[in-house]
Amino acid sequence: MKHTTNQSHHRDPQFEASDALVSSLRELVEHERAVSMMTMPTERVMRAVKLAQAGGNRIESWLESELLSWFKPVFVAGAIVILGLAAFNFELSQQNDFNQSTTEMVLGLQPVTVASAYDLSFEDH
Amino acid sequence: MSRAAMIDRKSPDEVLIDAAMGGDDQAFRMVVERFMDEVSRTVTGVLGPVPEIDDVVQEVFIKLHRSLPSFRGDASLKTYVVRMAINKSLDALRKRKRSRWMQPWSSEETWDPPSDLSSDAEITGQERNLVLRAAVNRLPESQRAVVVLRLIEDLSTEETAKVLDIPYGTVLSRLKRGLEKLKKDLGNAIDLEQG
Repeated sequence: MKHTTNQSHHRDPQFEASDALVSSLRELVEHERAVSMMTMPTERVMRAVKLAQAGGNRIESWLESELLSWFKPVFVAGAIVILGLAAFNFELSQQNDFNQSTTEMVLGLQPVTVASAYDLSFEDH
Repeated sequence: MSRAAMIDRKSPDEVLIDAAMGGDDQAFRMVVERFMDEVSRTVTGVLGPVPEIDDVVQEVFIKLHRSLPSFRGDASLKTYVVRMAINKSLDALRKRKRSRWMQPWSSEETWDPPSDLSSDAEITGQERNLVLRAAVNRLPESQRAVVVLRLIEDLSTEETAKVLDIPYGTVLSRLKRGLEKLKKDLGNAIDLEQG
C-alpha cells in the first residue's frame, strides 16, 4: 500500500528535510488515515458516484422539461406583446401627417424634422 | 470480445478512462482503486485526522467521474486526480476555517509549540504524532500543499509544480519556507538529524 520511496527530492539542492522528518510525516499520515477513514472506501465511493450521477441526471432532466414546458408559453406571450406594440405604433403613426417609413411607424420612432432639430429643450442643457 | 473482457487492473489509464466514459462502472472502479491511496493520503495530509476525510475523498472521485469527458490527457491521470484532491482538501480547509470564524465560542482545542520539550523528553508515538500534526496545521495553505505533495506523497518537484500549477522555483521556495517553519515549530520534539 505504501508508495514507493523514489527519493526524488534528493535531486533538489534546496531540499533540507532529513529522512527522519519525511518518514515521521509519512507515518503520521498513514496512521491518521487508518484511524479516520471508514472501511471499504472504494465501495462507498462507487455508491456515492452512482447516487450523484442519478441525482445529477434527475436534476438535468427536470430542468430540461421545465425549460421546454416554459419556453412555448413565454415565446407565444412575448410574440403577442411585440406584435401588439408594433400594431399600436403603426396605428398611432398613421394618424400624424409626417412622411415616415414603415419601419419608423412600426417601431414608433419620433419623426425628425428641421423644426424639432432646432427646438431646444431644457433637458438638453 | 466485450469491452469488459478487455480491461483489467493492469490496463493503462487511457483505456480505463475510455471504458469509464462509455459507462463501464467496473473501469471506473479500477480507477478509484488505482488512485485511492494517493487521494486519501493527500486529503489526510492536508486536513489531518478529521471526520470529513471520507466525504472529501468521495467528492474528489465524484468530480473526477463528472469531468472525465473533459480530461484531455495533457497531464497524467495521476496529476489530474491529485490536483483535484489537493483543491478539494484546501476547499474543505477554508470551509472549516470559515465555520470556525462563524463560531468564535467553539471549543476547538488550541496547541502551543513544544518549546519546553527537550530532546531527552520521553515522547510516545501518539504524542509525537500530535506534535507533528499541530506543526503541519500551522503551515500556511500554500506551504502545506507543497509539503504534502512533495514529502508525503513523494511527487517530484516538477510533478508538484504541475499539480499546483505554479512555477518550479515557487515549489522550491515554498518547500524551503515550509521546512524551516516545521523545524522551528517542532523544536526538539523530533530528532530531525537522525537518518
